[in-house]
Amino acid sequence: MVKEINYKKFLLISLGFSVIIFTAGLLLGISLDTTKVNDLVVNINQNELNIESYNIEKEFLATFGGDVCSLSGPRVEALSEEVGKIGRLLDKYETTNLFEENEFNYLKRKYFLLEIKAYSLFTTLKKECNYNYTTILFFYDINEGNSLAQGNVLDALIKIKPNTHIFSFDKSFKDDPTLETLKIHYDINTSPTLIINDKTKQESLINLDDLIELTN
Amino acid sequence: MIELTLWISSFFALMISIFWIQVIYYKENKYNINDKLPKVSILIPAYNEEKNISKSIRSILNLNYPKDKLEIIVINDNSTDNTFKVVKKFKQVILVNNKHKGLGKASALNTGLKYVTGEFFAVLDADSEVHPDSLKRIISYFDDPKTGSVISSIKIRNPQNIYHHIQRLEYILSTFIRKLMSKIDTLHITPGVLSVYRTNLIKKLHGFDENNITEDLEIALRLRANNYSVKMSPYSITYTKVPSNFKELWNQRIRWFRGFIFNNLKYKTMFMNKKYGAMGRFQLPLNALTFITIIVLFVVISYSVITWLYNAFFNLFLLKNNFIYLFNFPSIRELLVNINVKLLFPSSISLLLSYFLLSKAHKSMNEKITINPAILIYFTVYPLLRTLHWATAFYKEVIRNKRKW
Repeated sequence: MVKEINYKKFLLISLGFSVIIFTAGLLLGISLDTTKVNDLVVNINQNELNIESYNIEKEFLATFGGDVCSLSGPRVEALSEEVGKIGRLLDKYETTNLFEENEFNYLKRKYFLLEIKAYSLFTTLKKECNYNYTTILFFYDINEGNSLAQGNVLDALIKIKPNTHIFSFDKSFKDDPTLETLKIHYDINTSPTLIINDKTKQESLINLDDLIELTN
Repeated sequence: MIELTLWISSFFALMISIFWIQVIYYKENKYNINDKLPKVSILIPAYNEEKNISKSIRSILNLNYPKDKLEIIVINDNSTDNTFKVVKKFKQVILVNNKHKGLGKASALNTGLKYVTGEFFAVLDADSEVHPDSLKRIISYFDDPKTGSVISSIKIRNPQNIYHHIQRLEYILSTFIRKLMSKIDTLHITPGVLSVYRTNLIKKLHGFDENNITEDLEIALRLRANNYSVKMSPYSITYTKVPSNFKELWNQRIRWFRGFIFNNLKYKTMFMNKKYGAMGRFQLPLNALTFITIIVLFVVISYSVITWLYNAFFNLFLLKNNFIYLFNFPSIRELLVNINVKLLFPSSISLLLSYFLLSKAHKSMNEKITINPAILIYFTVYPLLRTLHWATAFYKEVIRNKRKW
């Protein structure tokens, strides 16, 4: 007679081991996510501190005399670059993270506020020091293909025109009143929308050639 | 969506790998070769096999089995070449002509079955050869009266091109899995490359199904449905020829997979049925789950590829010559942030276990793992092709496309 195999026992053992391995992966992933979040928080805090430092230095020079404009250009450019890096890391984090939505929204909010601060600095700098920067506010929708395509066009634009600074905002993000004010101020109803140099509003997807023309 | 699909399929793959690894270490019954050997009839259906059939017949004549207990029956299935003349030269062979035209292999086998006088009969494809000890070893498995059929270990003789080498790997793995299925008594296929049956039982079950494109799967499932086992004799080696080009491989796989879908549905009453033990409650649900996973993966992967292509063309349209600017080399930090450990960790373990199963499969077939283009293709491109085979077979079954051999 053929020996009867207890396949149910085998299945239970397999299920048990699989659950253990997946739980271990999950815990490892969560702990790495926490590390990634902490790293981002450190970056954001550092950036906030840099902005504060810049403001204090500017105030100091204004009070005690000195050339604010020669100091400001490189400092603000560096700030914008750092904010951009945070944005890219946040973007990667968003695509890989399954959980922790609250945490992610908190980081996103901080990032948007940093961008608004950096944008204000750039606008002031352009007015006060006559710098030839192109600033673009980019309102996107994360679930929309045209926004993704517009993001790619903007990535290419930065490489062609390095003096362009882009500040991107999730149009559907509702958790921050300052961002809401920004949307009301520029009357943002659709995505993608671009505000170029605080003057020109572009409310639909635009190709690279036309965008270069608009920014000239 | 993609991530969730991958997550679920990885969990499923991991669980099944662990299951089979446990089966590897399960000690099964030992079967000893009997002194008293029964008479066995070997059925060789042949359609235009003038180039191969001599080798096949010679391998039977060289079997380490009493000659008076061997009967060779070649069924000439309306060949248009010299098959008839070639076979006629072998005096020991009973040569019969299948009068039914275009009814496929099952019809030829049923014709041959009428001439069988052995207690057991074997089916051997005309392009296959057997190892001298194969039959003796197979017969020992019939000690158990509930064993309806016993199959052999199939190897590919002299793989020559990349298609052969890929299929060599596939056969090593599938033969190994069949061996494991045999251990837990869920084997449900009797390939044409030397499978032996109880003659009276198959006659009682009215022979092979002539309306089936995979009669070897159907008869095995029918045996299972009648509570008979299908066993594998792992040391009974047989050698076969396999498709040599894309078209042949494609047609063969579509036929196999359509037959799989059709026959699994035909015997759906066995599904989750307590009466059939591990076969009903484990193997058939596993078959269904594997099939569903493949189809879901096909849909998800196709959707991703189409979306990616659409985006690529759209970006090309928007950026024109500046398209190149989209290719960014991510920093190490960005790469690290991009790693999804929750998926990567179990997938890596699953991959390691798969490698373990692959090495065990090679060991069990006395073969060595060699890193060559075939193994790389087998683990990268081939799964996509297999998914495409499954999807096409599924589509053809859904639209009820005519089944043909």
